[in-house]
Amino acid sequence: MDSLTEIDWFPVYLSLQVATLATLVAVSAGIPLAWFLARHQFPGKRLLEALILLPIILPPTVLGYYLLRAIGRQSALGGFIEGTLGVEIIFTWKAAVLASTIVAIPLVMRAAQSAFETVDPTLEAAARTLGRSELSIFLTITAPLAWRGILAGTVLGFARAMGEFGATLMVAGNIPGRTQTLPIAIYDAVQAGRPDTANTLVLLLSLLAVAVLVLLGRLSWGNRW
Amino acid sequence: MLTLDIARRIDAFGLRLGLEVGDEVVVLFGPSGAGKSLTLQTIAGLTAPDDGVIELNGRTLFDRARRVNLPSRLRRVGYVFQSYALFPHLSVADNVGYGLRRLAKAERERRVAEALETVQLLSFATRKPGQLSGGQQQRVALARALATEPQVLLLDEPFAALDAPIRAELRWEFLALRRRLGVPAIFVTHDLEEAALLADRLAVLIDGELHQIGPPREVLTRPRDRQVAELVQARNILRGTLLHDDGTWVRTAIGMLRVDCSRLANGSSVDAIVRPDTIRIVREDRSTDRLRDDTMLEGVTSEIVDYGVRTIVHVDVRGVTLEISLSSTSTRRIELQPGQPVRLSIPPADVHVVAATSLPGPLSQSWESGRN
Repeated sequence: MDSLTEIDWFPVYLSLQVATLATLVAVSAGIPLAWFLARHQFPGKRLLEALILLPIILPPTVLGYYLLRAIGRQSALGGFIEGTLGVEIIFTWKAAVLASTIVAIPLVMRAAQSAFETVDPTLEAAARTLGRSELSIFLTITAPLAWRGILAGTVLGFARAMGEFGATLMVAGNIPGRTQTLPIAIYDAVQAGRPDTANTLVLLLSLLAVAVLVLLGRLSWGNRW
Repeated sequence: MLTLDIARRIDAFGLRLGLEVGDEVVVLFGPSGAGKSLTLQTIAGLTAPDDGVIELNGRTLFDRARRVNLPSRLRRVGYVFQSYALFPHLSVADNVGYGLRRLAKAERERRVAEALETVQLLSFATRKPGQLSGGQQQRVALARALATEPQVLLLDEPFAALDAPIRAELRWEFLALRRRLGVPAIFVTHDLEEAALLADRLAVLIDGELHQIGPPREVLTRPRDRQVAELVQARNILRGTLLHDDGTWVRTAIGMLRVDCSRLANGSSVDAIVRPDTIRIVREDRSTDRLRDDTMLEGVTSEIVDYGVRTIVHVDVRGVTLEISLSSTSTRRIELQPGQPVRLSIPPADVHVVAATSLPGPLSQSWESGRN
């Protein structure tokens, strides 16, 4: 029976780092995209929205397969990144970040887009006539009025990134001490017959999930300024 | 001075408008969907016209030919929205100061206080918009627009969302304020009373076309065509034929109306417009000698509605219902009952005759000639 001290905590740190990075990328990409989609109508908008939401519906293994085909060493893109830029992605922690980012983006974007859509465009029009630039209007009007939704999406995205398993396993592998994230470590512990490790790590992820749900509940409490 | 000459097409709707606004209040009046708000948005740069020129005090805001389209933030317009458009997360003072970010703090605070003083809401500076009534919110919105010292003030049905008593109050406040504005103002409304009260000049916009512009009294008493007449509630509009024969007459369904009209040719198809307040009811015992130039008609009253200040009487004349508006004091003198036979007199000078237009028939010549 292994005690707490014998548990390898590396997967916990790795997952926190991977999820944090993935969330940062997802927020940087998702919020501008969400704002654009909330404020513009164009042909093909529904298709673009569907494509971005696809990772929510697709089985993680399918997603992982697509990623392998896209950035694997045999692919044109993967070959270019590794051969020309000299950056290794596949079977490194970077691939884990990529997989987590792809699944976090739709959650961040969806929540942020809904939040932006509830901000009356007339307020932005008023701000424009009052002499403010678009960036200034976004920072002083749109974002403050939509922050609850944006934060809710970010928290959801982070939780999803922490839990990412299937696609990560396919593109980052299961290399202990290098690419073994928390969910993969749980799988590994169960397979290797280390129930105490599995129990501890499962408890950790469950607590995180509960914390996220409590936070989301508080965020959707009401729009009081 | 604001001048614009713009064209904009949206699906089947087309807006074509030429307008010059000095230091005055021009009220853009017309039915919903006439292009009134679109005009304001175009001036503010919130949407671009397809073609045309907009200039403000010698500055070009928009010029299609020269590819100028100044962004809203550089146009120096003050815009007041029907929905107030106050920023709900900012205090009243921060709302009013929002357009003054470039000023030093002390100067900004002075201007905010001054603007709030103007609308008598200085004591509400620290409140949030949600804690204010609709009327107070719109006054904050007005203060916010005025604080930036705009070169033109655009008001898009600012009082339409308010209850009638508050609306009346704000109208009078704005009337008092407008003398001190010193900038062109365009006020959009579809409320005739509001339009007549606030306008230095009243511009009637119907289906994207300017039908008439002039002092309110002129537009109300001398509408240029049937559509304007209907919009300004002239009520009694009689299609007929103009006859120059021992005086000038219009042959209508209710008989021959004596009119003053030398502009139009014998036999022209015309609309004779008679406002409800120009028709008189003549008591049986009254001599008609003094009224011998007037058209005399016999009719029977149907509806009589007392609004307190005025009474509206419907009189059927040969199957046509005429609407007559009487002051309540004269109603009491006459003691009208529904179903009562009455004699009506209409002075020729009060019958406004315009050439009949096939409906719908906008008169777009003003825009065409304005271009040359």
